[in-house]
Amino acid sequence: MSTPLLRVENLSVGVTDPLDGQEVVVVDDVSFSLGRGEVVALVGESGSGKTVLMRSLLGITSAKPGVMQGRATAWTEEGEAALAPRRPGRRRSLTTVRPGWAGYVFQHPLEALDPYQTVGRQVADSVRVARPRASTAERRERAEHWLAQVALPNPRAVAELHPHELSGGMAQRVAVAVALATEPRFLVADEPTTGLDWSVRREVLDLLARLQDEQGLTLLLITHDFAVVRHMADRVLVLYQGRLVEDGPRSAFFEPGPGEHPYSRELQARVLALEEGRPPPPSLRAPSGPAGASCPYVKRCARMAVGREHDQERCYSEVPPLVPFGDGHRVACFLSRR
Amino acid sequence: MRLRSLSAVLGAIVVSILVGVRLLALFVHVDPAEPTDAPLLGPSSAHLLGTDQLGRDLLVRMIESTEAFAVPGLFAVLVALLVGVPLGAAIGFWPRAKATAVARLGLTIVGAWPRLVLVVVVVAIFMVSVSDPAEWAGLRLYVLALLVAISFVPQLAQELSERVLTFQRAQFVEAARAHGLPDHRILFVHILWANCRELVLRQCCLLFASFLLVETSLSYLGDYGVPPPRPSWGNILSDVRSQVIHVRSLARPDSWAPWDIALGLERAINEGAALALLAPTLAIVVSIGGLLALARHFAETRG
Ligand code: SF4
Repeated sequence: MSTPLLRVENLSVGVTDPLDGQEVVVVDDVSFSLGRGEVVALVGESGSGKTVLMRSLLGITSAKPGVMQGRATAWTEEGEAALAPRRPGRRRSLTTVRPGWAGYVFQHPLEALDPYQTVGRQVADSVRVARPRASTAERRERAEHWLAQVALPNPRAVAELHPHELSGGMAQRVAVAVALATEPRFLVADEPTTGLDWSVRREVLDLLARLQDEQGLTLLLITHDFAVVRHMADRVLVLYQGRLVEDGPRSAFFEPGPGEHPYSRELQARVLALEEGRPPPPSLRAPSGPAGASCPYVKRCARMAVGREHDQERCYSEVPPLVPFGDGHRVACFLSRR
Repeated sequence: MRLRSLSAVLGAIVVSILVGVRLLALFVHVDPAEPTDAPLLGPSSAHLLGTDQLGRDLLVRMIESTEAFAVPGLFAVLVALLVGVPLGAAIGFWPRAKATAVARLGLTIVGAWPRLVLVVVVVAIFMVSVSDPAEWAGLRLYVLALLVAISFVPQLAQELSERVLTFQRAQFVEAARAHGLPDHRILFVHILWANCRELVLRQCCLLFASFLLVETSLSYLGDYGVPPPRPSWGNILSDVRSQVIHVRSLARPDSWAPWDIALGLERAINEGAALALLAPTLAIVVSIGGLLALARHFAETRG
């Protein structure tokens, strides 16, 4: 792998349920690393903990107080920085290593913009993070530069607009500009294409790809959208019920075979069916709550159902570890074969 | 015209009139406490609003009355801002801190006192404890202003903190945090300045109106407000009152029956008290109405 940028070891995140005050484990013992300049897709169904995982790392957890355990190490320009997550608000997160080192593009771009300030001022605010000593005029100029970078026509005019005057595609671009203006090395985009129409989706993806290439960014895409994965990702991380079940190159993810995780198979079948307009294959509902000492996928697993009895017992009584399958491919399944 | 712009225009007109009158007072060189002519004259070119029962020019007294609330009122606004805004902002921004719970409790205790009771009690204590009340007459208004400001702080801080809290949880604030914006910038620029400005301005209008009301009420009641012979819209009104009582007692020495008081009022008005009654009443109603209209305007623009 290329030079490392971020390594996460045994990260768990617990979130307090607002209704009964119970702690729910949302991210369970996840380890992975990202190399500099990589494009990685983080996939999984809703509620699998994708967003919580990245938000916890970036320290964006004010809405959901939770507890983090585990270690994360980031390699910044200044060298190695260990993040010791503890209570929210007290820990060092990726954003406190160096403010602006990591950028986040939110799922709903309009909500992520201050409704009562012009777009230009919001981008200029991010510029301030990257260049605290820049004068107001310089900041404005930089802001316009970034608005031009995200391919907005007439950036000077756009800078004067308020968020509600933007279309969905424009708002998404502005959100990207706000994130980029802090000059991050690492950009997380949470569902960057949801809610956009097809043509705009394509444009946003091309834009992200171009910027990633030009700025040498490491890009992490949290997504449901396999078009995004197929289009851009070098590597795919699959999250199921808070556990990382597969981590491998894109080719390995899309290639059916005995090596892959059965959940990845199901996910693909589902998305393929949707894309072709067929009804998705039925699935058993995922059991809620912590899976305990069994494979988290056991209740839905098609592979286990046809396996030998001895293996089935293992599926029920042990948590499969994420084991290397060669070539940067890791799978958490007892029945995966080379 | 829409109601919103109507209230803005009304408020702006009233406030500019108040400011204008206050500035005008700086150029009036007639002592409002000295009789200049015969008592109870009707309007004339020498006395546009006539004279009161001591022969003092009513217009001069009306204008000079603004001295009683203009600067002390602004002082009250300043105090409330200096205390209330940081408190409200902090409570809303750090809702889970221990200090926040303490501050909330303190505000609840202060806020539980009825404003006028608090003011009367403390001013009374103040007046008893100073050795020479006359010497402290000017200061009394500032004590009053301070009290009104303090009694206003809970309301201001409460509303502001609720607003700050909703924005603290808004996604754009999370986004700003994620992008590494420092807390103080998020709080001051994105929350307070961009999104709470109107709320604070509205509270300032309400506070000023409230101070005006307290000052004129106390001056009307006598002992705690503007010390006569200095004028206030409140004590101009109470002068009319004593005149009504005087006239009534001439007609029916011992009767307090409502119709006799009405008779007294009628005679007093016939004797030239109409303007002395009308002018301060109108001034108070219009000023407070204008300030409330302005407050309403701010409320409707994101206040
Ligand atoms: S470990 Fe067993 S239950 Fe889990 S995915 Fe593999 S086969 Fe299925």
